Amino acid sequence: MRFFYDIVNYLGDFFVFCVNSFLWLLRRPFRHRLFIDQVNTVGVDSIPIIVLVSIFTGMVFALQTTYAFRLFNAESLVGATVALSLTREIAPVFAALMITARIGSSMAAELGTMKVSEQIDALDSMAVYPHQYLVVPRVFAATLMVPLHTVIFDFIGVLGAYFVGVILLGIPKGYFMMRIENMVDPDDVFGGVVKAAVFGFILASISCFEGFRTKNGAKGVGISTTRAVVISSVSILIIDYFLTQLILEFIT
Amino acid sequence: MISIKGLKKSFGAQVVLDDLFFEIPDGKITVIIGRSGEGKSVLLKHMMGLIRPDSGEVVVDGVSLFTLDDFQLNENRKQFGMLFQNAALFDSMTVFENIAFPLVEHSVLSGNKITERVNDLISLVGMDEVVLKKFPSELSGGMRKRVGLARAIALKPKILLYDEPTTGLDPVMTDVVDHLILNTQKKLKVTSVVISHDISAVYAIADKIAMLHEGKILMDGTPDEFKNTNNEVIKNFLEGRATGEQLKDL
Repeated sequence: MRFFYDIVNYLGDFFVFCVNSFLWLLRRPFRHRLFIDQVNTVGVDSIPIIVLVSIFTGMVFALQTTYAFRLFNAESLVGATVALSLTREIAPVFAALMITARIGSSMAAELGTMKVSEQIDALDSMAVYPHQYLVVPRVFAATLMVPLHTVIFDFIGVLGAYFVGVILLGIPKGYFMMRIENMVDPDDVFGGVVKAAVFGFILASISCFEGFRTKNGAKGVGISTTRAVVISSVSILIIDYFLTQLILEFIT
Repeated sequence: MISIKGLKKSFGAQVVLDDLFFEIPDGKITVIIGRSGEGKSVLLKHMMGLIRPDSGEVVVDGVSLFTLDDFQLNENRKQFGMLFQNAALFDSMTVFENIAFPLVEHSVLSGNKITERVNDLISLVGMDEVVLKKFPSELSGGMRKRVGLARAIALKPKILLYDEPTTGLDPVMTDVVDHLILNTQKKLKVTSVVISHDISAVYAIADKIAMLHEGKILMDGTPDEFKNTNNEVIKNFLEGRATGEQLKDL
């Protein structure tokens, strides 16, 4: 019983935290500089790792599907299969998980350290709203940048698949490209981007929320960081299912 | 004047402040003493409106803080400056950025004026401008406290709150910080509230002392009144003497 009470309590607090993020987004002063700093940290600095992961994801996916599709003489479908999987599912989920690992953990650790060292109280004492100053730029930078990472993931992943499928395994280039063109719609890319925006918002909100709830010194910071990564990752996978249903019904 | 009337605050089952009444005079240094965990920092945070009480009120210059909404309370906070126990400097910012922070947030000063003001503040707390480029992690405990004080007085507050300003410092640096509190008081004519465990410093700087015990103010008065008290709890605390009750678990 206590367990369910704690979960409901946590979800209630988290909901209020998310609503506050939207409310503070609309209130002055608008903190452009902090937002741009976070766009740089969350977005630009994460591009190399996204490129690395996406190229190998596309390559391994092409490798597996080529050998599987060869059994049915259907290698020409490799490009389209990889592209559809990437745009609809793999790119938004993998990009969000990578950003959770790279940025979510650092958000929780940074805000957690600020909390236990009274830096957040210091902001309050200087009449600066911590939620507006610390949370809003992080949450909305992630909401904006994870979709960008997803588009990069889509493009580089397909390039990786092209390299393995066409150049290494000899699938005819024309078939590979034609099937992608015929089977992948802009709506597929758009659906993935919408998912990514939701994932970005969720992972940054959870990470900041956990940071703000930190207590008990260095150990507490460690616990918050772990919780931020675990809860964000699990939430992304759970929300993905329900979002996919909605997107399949209303977008693609 | 800060008047605290019937303040009650509990965290779960633990009662921290229990129907507490207390007055802090303008332009004086009031030192709050008491054993660890008695709720001194909680009391300080109530004075600033950082924590809302379960009941009771804090009246600052005729304004009852907890009748204000969050935005009014935030506005009201600009008349306070607070030096935290470990200074609570922003560790991702340089000393200059830390001291300039409240000025950037709340004043209409230009960049040059802010630089001038930061230079004035750093010399007011007895430090050289060389430290302005350093990060808090490069400073000693005493230097961090001084930078924290410079930041706290940047907006020329009417009330300065010090949360254990000398904890963790060596005796010489403790003396430096005590003088700093006295000098700041003299120069800025502010109302100061200090939480301290350092009894010799308490006698040296306090105009008024109050002892917090079991959620209430056990006694408040001048340093002389405290020196001459017959109250056993206060005498034991001032002389640093543990009672049999406190030693029995050892």
